[in-house]
Amino acid sequence: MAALAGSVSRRYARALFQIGVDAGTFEALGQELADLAEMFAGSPELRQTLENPVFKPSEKRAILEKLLPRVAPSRTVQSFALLLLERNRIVALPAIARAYRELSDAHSGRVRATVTSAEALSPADLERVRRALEQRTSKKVMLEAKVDPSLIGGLVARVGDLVLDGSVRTQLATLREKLLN
Amino acid sequence: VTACLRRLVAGADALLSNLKLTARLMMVATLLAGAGVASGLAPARAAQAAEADQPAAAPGVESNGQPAGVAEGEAVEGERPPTIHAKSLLLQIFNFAVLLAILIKFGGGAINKALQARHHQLKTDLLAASEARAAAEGRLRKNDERLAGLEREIEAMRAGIKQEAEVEKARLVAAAEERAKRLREETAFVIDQQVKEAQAALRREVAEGAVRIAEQLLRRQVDAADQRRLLDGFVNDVAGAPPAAVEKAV
Repeated sequence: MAALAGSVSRRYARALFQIGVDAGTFEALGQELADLAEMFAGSPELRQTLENPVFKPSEKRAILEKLLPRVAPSRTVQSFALLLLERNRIVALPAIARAYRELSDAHSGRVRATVTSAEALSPADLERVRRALEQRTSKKVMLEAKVDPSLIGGLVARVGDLVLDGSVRTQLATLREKLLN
Repeated sequence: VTACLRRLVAGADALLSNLKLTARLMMVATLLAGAGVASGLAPARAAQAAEADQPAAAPGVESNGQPAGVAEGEAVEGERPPTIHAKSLLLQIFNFAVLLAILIKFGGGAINKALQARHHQLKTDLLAASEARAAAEGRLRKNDERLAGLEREIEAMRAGIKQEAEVEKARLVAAAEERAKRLREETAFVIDQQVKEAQAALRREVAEGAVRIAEQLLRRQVDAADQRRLLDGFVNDVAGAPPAAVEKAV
């Protein structure tokens, strides 16, 4: 079911992305779509209203039409959101936004990375890490920083499907495995 | 069976004895018949003696027919050869002939027939008895042989049973040894497994304790300098050739 939802999300994302590429506005459309998905995911009342079959489609459409101009000025994203509502795919909006972001990043040669450290890194350190990751992946890295004290020391970087783990916690786990075996 | 055969042989012997007795009786009857003929001659001889002694029967003759005092001398003097009266002899011969004729005429065939039948019967009985005796002796011999064979057979059976018992004993001993061996191996395996489990548990406990102590020490002692060093190492590893330990696909 999740695979099917992912496939549907990628098809919708690919259709909107193609429109944006053709118009040369895929970055702006991506940002509007991300904002819309963030609003949808961050508001349980809105999500329940749009997903609840008790409300009429016309009422849902009216609600969405009032909200859309605030987060998605472009007519394309508004029409896209109304189309999802009409076809009962509005619940897939966050997944569609992620798929669109992947398409946009791939098209622009970007890659998103997450760096987790035991203590907060300074901007200079983050920049060093970003450059190292760009050198490693040969792509532009969009870095996101997180803090996890359970790492004890060191840091863990995740770039797409690739995980680079330099944490003390992992080294201790490796040491434990070696002692056991 | 042996006792029955012995009784049959005894019966055949008794039958032979009866036949011998019958033959003796026939011989006695023949002698009696001869004696009858002889008794027919005795009266004639007495009559002749009476005629010869009649003149000497005078007074002074003793009751035994001899005169006293001269009896012995007269007796020697008076012995004369016996005379045969031809007429009387002929009559006696005729009488005996008639008797023989009557016996032969009316009883000869029946006697011959009875004797013949008796002869055949005796012959058949003798033959049957001898056959029965031979059969009984054969059976007795066979039984004796069988008895002798039975001894051998019993001995062979005893030897076979003993051999089977030895084989069964060896099989049971082998099975018991095999089972004992298997039990020893299983016990050794279980003990080995338990030792390995104990070693693994001990190793795990020691490893976890060591890691726990190391983690506690690291949490207390890792400072900014260590973090900096770890960051530098990570950046160098990522930018350069990354060690396999820090890279993995998710």
